[in-house]
Amino acid sequence: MASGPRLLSNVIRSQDELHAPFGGIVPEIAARAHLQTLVPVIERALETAGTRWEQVDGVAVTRGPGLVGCLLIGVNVAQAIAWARKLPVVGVSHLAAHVFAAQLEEPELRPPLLGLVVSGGHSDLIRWQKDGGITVIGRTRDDAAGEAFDKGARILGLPFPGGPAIDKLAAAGDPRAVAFPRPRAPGLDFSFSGVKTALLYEVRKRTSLSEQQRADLAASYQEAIVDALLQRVEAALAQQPTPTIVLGGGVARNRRLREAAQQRLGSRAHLVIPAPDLCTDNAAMIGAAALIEWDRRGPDPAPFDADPSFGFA
Amino acid sequence: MRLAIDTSGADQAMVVLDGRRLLAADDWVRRRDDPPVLARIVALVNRGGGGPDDVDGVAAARGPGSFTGLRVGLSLAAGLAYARHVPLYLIDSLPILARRAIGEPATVALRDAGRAEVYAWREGEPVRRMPTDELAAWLPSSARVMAEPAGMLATWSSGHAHLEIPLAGRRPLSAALLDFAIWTFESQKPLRYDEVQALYVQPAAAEERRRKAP
Ligand SMILES: [Zn+2]
Repeated sequence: MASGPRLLSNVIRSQDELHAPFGGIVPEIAARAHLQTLVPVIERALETAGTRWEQVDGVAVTRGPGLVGCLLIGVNVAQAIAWARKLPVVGVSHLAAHVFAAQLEEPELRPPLLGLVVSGGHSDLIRWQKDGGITVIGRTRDDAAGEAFDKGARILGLPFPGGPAIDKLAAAGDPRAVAFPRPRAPGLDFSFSGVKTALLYEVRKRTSLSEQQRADLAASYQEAIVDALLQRVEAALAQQPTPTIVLGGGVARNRRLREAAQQRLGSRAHLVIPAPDLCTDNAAMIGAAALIEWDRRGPDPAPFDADPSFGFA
Repeated sequence: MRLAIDTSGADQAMVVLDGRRLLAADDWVRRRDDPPVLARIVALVNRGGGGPDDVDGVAAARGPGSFTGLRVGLSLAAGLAYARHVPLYLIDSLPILARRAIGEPATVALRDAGRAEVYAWREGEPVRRMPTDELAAWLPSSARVMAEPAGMLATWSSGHAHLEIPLAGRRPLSAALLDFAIWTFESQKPLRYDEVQALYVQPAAAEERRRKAP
């Protein structure tokens, strides 16, 4: 594929509705739903792409990290299909895939690059080095960025998932209304528990909240998180200039983050933020990652297990 | 060639068969650092003298039992059957366990469910989950009990230890699985690939009451 990957279909079956009543992901519910929906989702992906199994050349699947019950199902269904159809398999890192998703926007994506993966489970700053290796240079000391949004949303009485809810409410608010502390952690690490606590105090000290006050709080809270994330990317860039920066993960859908990243980083490096649907968890990014891994090390020679603590490579 | 797998318990097994004839079997005890179950399937099918193209039916145990084990077995079975467009069957784990008895099947099968509970099955009834201290009232006095792990009936219900079939009276899980798989392939209706679900047995009524109590 000299011209880079071409996406034929990307079927997403979201479980948000299943989990919303619980205010977070329930592993047991997630795994049960996986077992029944996986085969139909695969069928639909083939149908949408107008592809038959005979035209498929390989299978890619997430090896980790993630919820073990869910990973097990994906890894085993995928490898069983591959074995039955005599196809090669590439097991990929879900985290690296959030970075490699950028290849779907930027076919010539090459190392070295700086990647920020921000989601409900992760806030990782990585370097994809010229030699192909991936090094994590910053991670969160407490909550992930997405968790910070979820917890902030709960404090503000907004529904799960919190990120989109805060994003929406913040649009009507003033990001300078409340000066939240900027999260400080050593080196290039992140920390969001302080700003979450500050939000809690701000809400508690008011006996009631007008709609405008809530919007102002949401906007200021969002601004603090976005600023903290970009500040670390800028610091990493200052330590070692890098031609390309990639943002990925569900939090990279956040409109303020996308806009501020463009303003602050756009002139200093080639900034790639995949389209919102390629930032949230999706299968296309796993395919993009598999193409890169295939070049790097080829298919996996023997059956492998799910690995809930799998890193970037 | 048809494949049947049971990864629902501590003892796990798989068989490949041609009609009623056993081609190859594998029995193992689940361990943390086990090789992937798919590697065992690949080796077993090879030993049975075939390859992936020869698999024309798949059956997998649906529990109750270990969530992890069940997910592995069911997703492998679903993936295989779907990819080959061959019939897929789910089979109940405790009746298989009962068939580990040499001679007549056990009339009662019990499997540890953790938290002082057991999955309990007796001939002609659906599986239930009950606190071990309710076993005494539920066990028929003439029961022949197959327990997993072996020897546990003495711990679960000390007065009934004599009802448990001793180790010497049980055969490998693969032998029981073979019997049950033959019956299933010959007489049962296959499932759709999107109907694959483990058997989740709800907590016993008594446990439910206890949980709701203030
Ligand atoms: Zn993700």
